[in-house]
Amino acid sequence: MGINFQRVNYKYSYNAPLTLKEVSLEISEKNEFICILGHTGSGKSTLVQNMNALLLPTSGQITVFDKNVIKVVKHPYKLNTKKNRLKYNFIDNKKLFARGNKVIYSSHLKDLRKHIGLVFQFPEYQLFESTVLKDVMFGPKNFGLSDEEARLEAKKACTIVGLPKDVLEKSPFSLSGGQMRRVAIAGIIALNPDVIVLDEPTVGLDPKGKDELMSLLVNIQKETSKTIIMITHDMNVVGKYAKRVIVMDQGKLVFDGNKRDLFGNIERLHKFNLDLPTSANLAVKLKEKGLINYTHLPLSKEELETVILGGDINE
Amino acid sequence: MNNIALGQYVDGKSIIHKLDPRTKLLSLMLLMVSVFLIPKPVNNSFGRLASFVMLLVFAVIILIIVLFTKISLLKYLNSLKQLAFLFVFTFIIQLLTPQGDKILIPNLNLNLSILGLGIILLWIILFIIFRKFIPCKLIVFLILTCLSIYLLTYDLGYSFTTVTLNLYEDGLFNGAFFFMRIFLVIMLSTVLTLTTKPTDLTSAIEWYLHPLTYLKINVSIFAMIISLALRFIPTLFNETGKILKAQSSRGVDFKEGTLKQQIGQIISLLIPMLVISFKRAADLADAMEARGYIPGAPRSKLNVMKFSLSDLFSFIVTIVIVTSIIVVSVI
Repeated sequence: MGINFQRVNYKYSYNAPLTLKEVSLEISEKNEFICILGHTGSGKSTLVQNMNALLLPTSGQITVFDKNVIKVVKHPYKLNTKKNRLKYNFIDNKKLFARGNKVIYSSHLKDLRKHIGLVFQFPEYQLFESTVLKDVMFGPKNFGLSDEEARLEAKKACTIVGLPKDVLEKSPFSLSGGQMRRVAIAGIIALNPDVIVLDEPTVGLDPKGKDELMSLLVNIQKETSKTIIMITHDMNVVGKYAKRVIVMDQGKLVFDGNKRDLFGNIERLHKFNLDLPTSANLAVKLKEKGLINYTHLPLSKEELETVILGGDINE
Repeated sequence: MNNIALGQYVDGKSIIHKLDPRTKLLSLMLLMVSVFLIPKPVNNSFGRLASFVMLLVFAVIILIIVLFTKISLLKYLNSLKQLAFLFVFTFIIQLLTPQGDKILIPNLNLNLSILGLGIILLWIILFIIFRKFIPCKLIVFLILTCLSIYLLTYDLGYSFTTVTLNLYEDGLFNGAFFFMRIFLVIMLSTVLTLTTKPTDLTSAIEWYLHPLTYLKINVSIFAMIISLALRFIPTLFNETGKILKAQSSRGVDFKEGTLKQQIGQIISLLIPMLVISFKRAADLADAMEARGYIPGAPRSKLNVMKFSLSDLFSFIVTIVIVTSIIVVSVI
C-alpha cells in the first residue's frame, strides 16, 4: 500500500535531459510527514506530479495503492523499436498484463487521483466558482458525489481549514491571499484523499499565516493520521514538523531519512545547498561559546528553549 | 517548458538572418509582388514558354535564397504541407474550367456507378482508419485520388449517371502556372518567417508605419502592444498548463463527461486564466511605469536596426529582379 517508486526515470520530452534519475522510494499510506527538499530545478515538483499521475514515468515503475501507473502508449509500433527500447527502457505492456498486474489506463487516472490529493504552488489561482462553498464542492462532484454529499464534504473541509462560516457564501476573489489559499487547500481536503501532497504551501504567506497553515496540517494528521508530503524551502518548517526528509539533487534522490541525520552532518548539508534551521544555527554558535550543551541538535524554537533551560530533547 | 517556439523562427547565423528586418520585409514583399507580375501563359507556344521560363528563373532565385538561409529544406516543406490542399484544389479547378479552344482529352466520361462509388468510399474509409500508419500521407492520398478517377472512367455496371468532362489544354497550363505561383509566394513568405524573429518583424513594421505619426496616430504604442502580446503567449501557455494540472488533480477530465459537465470543466480553466492574465497585465503595467515608460514618449531601442552594406546589396539585387520582370512582362 502507499506509494512505491522503483527506478523511476522521467523526462519532459524525448530529447530533454532526465528530470528524474533512477528514483526509488517507498511511502506508507499512514502517519508520515515528509518534507521534500532540494534546489530549484532538482525535480521536486516532477516527483510529486508523478505520484499523482499528472506526469507518467518515462521508465521504471510507480505503484500507487497497489496499482501500477504505466504510460499506455498510443502507437506502440512507433516506439517499440530496438533503438527506443535501449534508449528509454521501454515497458512492454503485454508482459505486464501477463503478470496479472493491475494496470491503470490514462482514462482511469481519476481513481488514482482520488487517493492522492495534490495542492499546487500558489493554489489560489485555481479558484473559479462564484462562491467559496461551490468551489470547494467542485472536486468532490467531479469524483461522482451528489450535490448534497459534496456540500457536506465541503463544509467539513472548510471547518478543518478554519474558514469562518460567513465566508462560505462569499466570492473567493473577494478574500485575502491567505484565505484564498485555505479555500484551495479545502478543495483538496474535501476529496478526502488518503495522502495529501503540497507543493510549497507556505510560499508568499506572512509568518502568522505560515504558522497557522503548518499547525493546520499537523492537526489534520493528528486527527486522521493521513500521510502528508510537502515540498518546502523553509528549513525552520522542516526542523519543526518533518518526520522524514527526502532531498533531491539534479534529479537524483540523494537523501531519504530522519531529519536529525540530515542536519547532523553539516558538510553534507552544504553540499546539497541546504542550511540549518535558524534555531540550530544559534544552538551551534552557543555551544561553541560553551554556553549550552546538548546531545541532540535542537531544530526548532521550542527545542532550543528546552535546551537553554537545561533540559534535553527526547527523541 | 520556457522555450515554446513562437511562430516558425529558426535560429541561425546566415546572411539572410543577419539582414535588417526592414530590408528583408520590403525585398520579400517586392519579390512576392513580382511573382504576381509574371504574365499568365497566353494562348500560343511562345507566350507559354516565356512565362514558364520566368517562373523557372524565379524558382532558381528562391532556391538560392533558401540555400543562403542554411535552414534544412524539410522546414520549408513542412510549411508547404499545411497548404497542400490549396495547391491541389487550385490545380483541379483550373484543369476543369473550360477555357481556350484546344481540348486535351475530349469527353472524359465518368460513370457514377454504385460499385465504383462503393469502392472509392471503401478506400476513403480505409485511408482514414489507417491514416496513422501510412508514411507520406499526401502522396498516398494523391495516388488514391488519381486511381479513383481512373476507376470511374470504366463502366462497372449499375451506373445511374454519367458526367462528361472536357480537359482543356489551356486549363492544364494555367493550373500548372497557378500551382507554381502559389508555391513561390509561400516559399518567399516562409523565408521571412523562418529567418526573422516576431519581435524584429514588429519593429520593422513599426518603422514602415512611422509616417502615420504625422496623422497623430501613435505607432509605437501599437508596436509595443504587439510585441508584449507575443512575449506573453509562452507565459500564458505555461500558466494554462499549471491550471490544467491543478484542476486535473481536482478530478477534472477534459476528455469525458456529458456536454454540460465538459462546459463546466472548461470554465474551471477559463476563469482562472482570465484572472491570471488580468493580474499579469496589471503587474506588467506597474513594472513598466516604475521603469519610466511613458506612452507616446520617444524611446530608444535595445537592438538598433542598422542598414548595412549587405542590406544595400540585397536590396539592389531585388530591385534588379523586379525591374527585369516588369520589363520582360511589358515586352
